[in-house]
Amino acid sequence: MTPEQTSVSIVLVGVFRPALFTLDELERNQALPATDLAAAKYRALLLDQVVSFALPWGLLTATADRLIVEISQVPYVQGLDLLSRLIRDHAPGSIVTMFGINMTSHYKFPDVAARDAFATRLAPTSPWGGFGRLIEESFPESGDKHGGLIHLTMRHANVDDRESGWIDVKVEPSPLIPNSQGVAMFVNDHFAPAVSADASRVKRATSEELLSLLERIFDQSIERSFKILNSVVSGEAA
Amino acid sequence: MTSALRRSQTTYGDTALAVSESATGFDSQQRALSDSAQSLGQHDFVDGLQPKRRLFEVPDVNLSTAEAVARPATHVKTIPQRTTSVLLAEWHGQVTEVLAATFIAQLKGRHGEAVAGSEDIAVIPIEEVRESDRDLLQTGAFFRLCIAYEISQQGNRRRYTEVVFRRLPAFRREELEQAQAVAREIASELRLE
Repeated sequence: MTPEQTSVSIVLVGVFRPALFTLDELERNQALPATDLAAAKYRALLLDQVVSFALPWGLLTATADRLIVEISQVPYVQGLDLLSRLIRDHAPGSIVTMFGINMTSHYKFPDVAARDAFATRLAPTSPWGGFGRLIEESFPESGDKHGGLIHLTMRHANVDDRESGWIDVKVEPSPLIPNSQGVAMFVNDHFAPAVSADASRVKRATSEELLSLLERIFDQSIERSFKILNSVVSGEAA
Repeated sequence: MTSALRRSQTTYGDTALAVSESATGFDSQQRALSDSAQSLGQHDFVDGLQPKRRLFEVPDVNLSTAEAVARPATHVKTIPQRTTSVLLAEWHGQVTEVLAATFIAQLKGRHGEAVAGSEDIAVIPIEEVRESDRDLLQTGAFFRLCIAYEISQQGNRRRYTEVVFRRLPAFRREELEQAQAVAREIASELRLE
């Protein structure tokens, strides 16, 4: 089953100066290609608080503690390249303390019954006793009377490619696909440094290690997220 | 968060610094996000914890306490785009030769059925390259070749091929540090006579 929509976001948590990420600053330092600059549109601008602008292929948002790029057009790696250039060339004083590589996909099922069957496979109603029976009895209803799964998150917490972190997968009804036929699935591939005795201080070396890890592992993470989502939707082993 | 923000700004550039509480723990992250929203509110940008969407359209970055409780630190709910592409196949490419109307490249499959792990040599028309990327087309350059489709709001499905050249950072920190070390060495050998 192929999704109707997929987007990827990279979230860097740490210390950033939003004022460095205004379009004027990026233009002055040639941090964005001319075509991206020409098409960029501000969504929010409050210097030292939040800078956010849309690009032809995504969205960049900078706050004092987060730098986020959302990528809606392939190749997703262009978001990684932008973040790498921004941190390494344009704002090398930034500090990265953790990061996440996220994927969102929206799937369209043939009908409501097929979506209910998928949701019931993930979260069977029978273990819920009488309450579960009531929910199952509401399946023929439409609109607000139709019950079922509204939110489910599973965490893989022992991932062997990082010192600390997890992979969360979340399933919800899709707000984008009409007629109650859609399912939205999210992957949060979260990386953090190992907790040290002095956790309040993060050295530049750690920040550099995290950035290098992000650059090294990005493609692998994207491919793993595709496989995870495909595996959950199909019910087959990845 | 305001104080943490001030501190992070004043110590920005130090070799090691105290990061804002938002990054070090769940409770402190929750507090920092809440404070961040209140700080924004001082500028009449945010009413309580809810963006007013008055001056600008505010993205759904985690501003509310509820969001912070529900979501881990590095997850954001993406803003639905009008159209987003869905990847069918992707190759990592490196240009080996540039000809008049085409270029030759080594391809390594990254994603897609019967594509992942494959290796090929391909001849690609230059017209497939984005206009804005043409100046990057030279021997040795890295690019991604993608086959994708997108579904418009009207439900029309369009399949397309995209060649996007990678714009990698010019410097890595270790390279800068090596350059600084060399500079120090040179400086120490300089003699003023």
